[in-house]
Amino acid sequence: MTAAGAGGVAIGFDAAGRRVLTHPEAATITAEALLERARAMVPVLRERAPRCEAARQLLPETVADFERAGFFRICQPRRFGGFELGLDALEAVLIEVGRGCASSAWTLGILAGHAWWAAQFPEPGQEEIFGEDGVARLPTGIFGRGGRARRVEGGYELSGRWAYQSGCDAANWYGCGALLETEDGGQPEGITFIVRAADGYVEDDWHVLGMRGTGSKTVVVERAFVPERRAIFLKDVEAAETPGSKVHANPLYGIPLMAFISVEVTGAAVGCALQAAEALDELGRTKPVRARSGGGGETAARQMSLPGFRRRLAESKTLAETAKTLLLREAERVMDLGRETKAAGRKFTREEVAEITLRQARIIDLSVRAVDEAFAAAGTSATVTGHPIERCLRDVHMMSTHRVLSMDQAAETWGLAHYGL
Amino acid sequence: MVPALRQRARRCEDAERLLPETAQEFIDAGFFRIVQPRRYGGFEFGLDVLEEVVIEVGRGCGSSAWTLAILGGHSWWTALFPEEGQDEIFGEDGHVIMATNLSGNGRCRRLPGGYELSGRFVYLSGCDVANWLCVGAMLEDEGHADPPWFYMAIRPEEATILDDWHMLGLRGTGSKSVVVEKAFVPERRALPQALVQAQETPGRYVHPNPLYATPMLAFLSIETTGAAVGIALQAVEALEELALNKPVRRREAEAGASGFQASVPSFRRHLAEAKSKAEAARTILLNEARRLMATMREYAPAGRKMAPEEMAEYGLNCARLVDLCVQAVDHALAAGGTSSTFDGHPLERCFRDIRTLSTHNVYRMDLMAERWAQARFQEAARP
Repeated sequence: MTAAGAGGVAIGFDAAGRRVLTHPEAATITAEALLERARAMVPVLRERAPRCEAARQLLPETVADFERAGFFRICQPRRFGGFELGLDALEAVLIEVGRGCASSAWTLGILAGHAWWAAQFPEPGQEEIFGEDGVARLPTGIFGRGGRARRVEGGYELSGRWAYQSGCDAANWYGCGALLETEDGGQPEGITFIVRAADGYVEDDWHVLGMRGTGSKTVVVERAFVPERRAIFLKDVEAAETPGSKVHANPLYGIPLMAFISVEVTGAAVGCALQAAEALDELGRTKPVRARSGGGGETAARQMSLPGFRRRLAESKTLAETAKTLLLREAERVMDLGRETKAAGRKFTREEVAEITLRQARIIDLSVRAVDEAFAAAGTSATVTGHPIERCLRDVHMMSTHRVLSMDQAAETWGLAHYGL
Repeated sequence: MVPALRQRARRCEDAERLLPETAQEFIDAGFFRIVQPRRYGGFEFGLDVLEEVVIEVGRGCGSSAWTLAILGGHSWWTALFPEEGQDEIFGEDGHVIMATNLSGNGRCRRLPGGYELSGRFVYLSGCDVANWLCVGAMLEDEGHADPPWFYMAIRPEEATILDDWHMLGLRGTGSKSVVVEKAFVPERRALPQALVQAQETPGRYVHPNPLYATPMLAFLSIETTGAAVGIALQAVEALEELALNKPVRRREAEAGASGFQASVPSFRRHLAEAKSKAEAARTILLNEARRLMATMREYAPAGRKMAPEEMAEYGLNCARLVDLCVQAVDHALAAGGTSSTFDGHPLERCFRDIRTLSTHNVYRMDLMAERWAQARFQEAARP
């Protein structure tokens, strides 16, 4: 593979005189090549996983590995140094990374996915965000709850706190949603920004059950100036009428936000499920069976000789693999729908978007069950701190509490959309 | 005690053992004497009384409840030993806190008047506060094809405790390993496993109460299960508190909820599921404990032994009710959301505790289902 560091992009100009960043691999890279790179990283990610948890952030060496492999550029516009591949390519990579370390996979999903989000912004904003190296790594609190903004000359003044900013330690930008105060004191309007990481700071408050290595800490911004070009109104996001969707011809950038972010990180859960099933498979060959009536302790037999064990392994493996098949198929379907709707000049319907989220919640649920089966078969020795199965249990249940991906919210949102309520 | 136990729960986890102040309060409350023979300073109540106490303690702290169940339950275990052994172990104050590993990984050899015991034993819950330890050991060097083995009580001073309990959950149980090297165990403190298996322990002839004729497997299936029920009830209560103080989220508000989580239909559903599962588990457990006591009142005076299938059924039913407790906590965590996964939140602790508890061999459905089925069909095949 060509080593393509942050500085590896070539700067040029197109016929219209616009600046173009070209990654050296942009013309040749394939989803299959990225998948192979991800697969090759699994052993080292497994070895680093306990350290990643303990550090409560994506490890700097993993950031560097992902950068070298081009993973952050998968969904980034070619014009700004990206590969402009689809969600299917991103999820295939996340699944492999998640087989090694779920936290690293989730953080990659967020950071790589949000290069797509940066591409929704006004063109001058994108030029600034992608800069001269095409490195735009940003976690996002897209929606309005976290901040307050007011209009000032040339832009906005923003203050706020955004919890759960996965990957913020590795970020050079932050995404920050806010309510924009109106001059006449009327109903504030939802607006969302991209802020320089240097204009905010991170509060180290991520001490949690699982997904510790995502470092999903709180980002704080105090009275930062944000220029007009790095702001989008939420009503334009909700209408899938973002400025960026008109900048890039690829239908990828016309996919509605909720559809995109529903799929974005799911590969981490599927990878986690596969990881647990694989760890259990290994345990079947190595863990002795205890004597049935005490006294003898261990026997020469291994867990694989127990029908109950084999059943759990089969359940775990088939649940995880079903989740993988569904996710890859669904990611392709979302890409197809993006092309179809763009060609037909229509938007995704509310029900279509809700159904995408619902299916992701189902995939997460299957992943949770795969890990539960593995945990049930593995026994107390797999609950020792640092055992991959206990980590997978914490990680996958943690992911299932995510508000976008929980079946509760997804089912309700879909039901309301389905009946037009 | 529930409020104090809740307040200490995080400290108990961090200490990776039963806190000394909690141990003292359990002593003062007489909890270690619930199933202890009256003759040796105990109350001689049934297993159902122990479980009711353990459930309440578990509403406060799962680790403390588990440890109490083990240590409190094992004053019953002590009462199965030879009379002279009981005289020694219960001593002059009847104060026995016995941590155990009864799976028998040790080895012993005969010496005049007793045995020499060595071995390494895992998972001795409560060993830090124990004044006795009990472990299992096989007799070696006598050329037996199927060597006999014994449960042996020793003093903690005769063992080394290893600090190796760093786990997903039930951290406060301090279920550490102990190492024993060539400890002398007098005959009176050795309980032959064959007698336990035959339901012919010396203790059943020492104490007239049918409680002490209860077979070990049936007793142990139930003993610690109150901790699971307590954890499930604790999670339900924590969730109920969220109902009235956690605001609805943006998308929940868009779907018509307002104010607090209590107005969100899926939250109410999870709460109802969690509550009914936890309460069903409680009902089943107390019923099983009472059923066991009633069965022994019938069987013991008649000299009747419990069949393997009957014993296995207690194990199966307890595995089922622990599964209900796991489900209850899963519902609570799902409804609690990401904010309830932060360190120190009762829901994330309940999740780790109940999952760790569910890995215990006596609660694993795979093993209990198989054990029950084997017993059932062996008996059915008997002429």
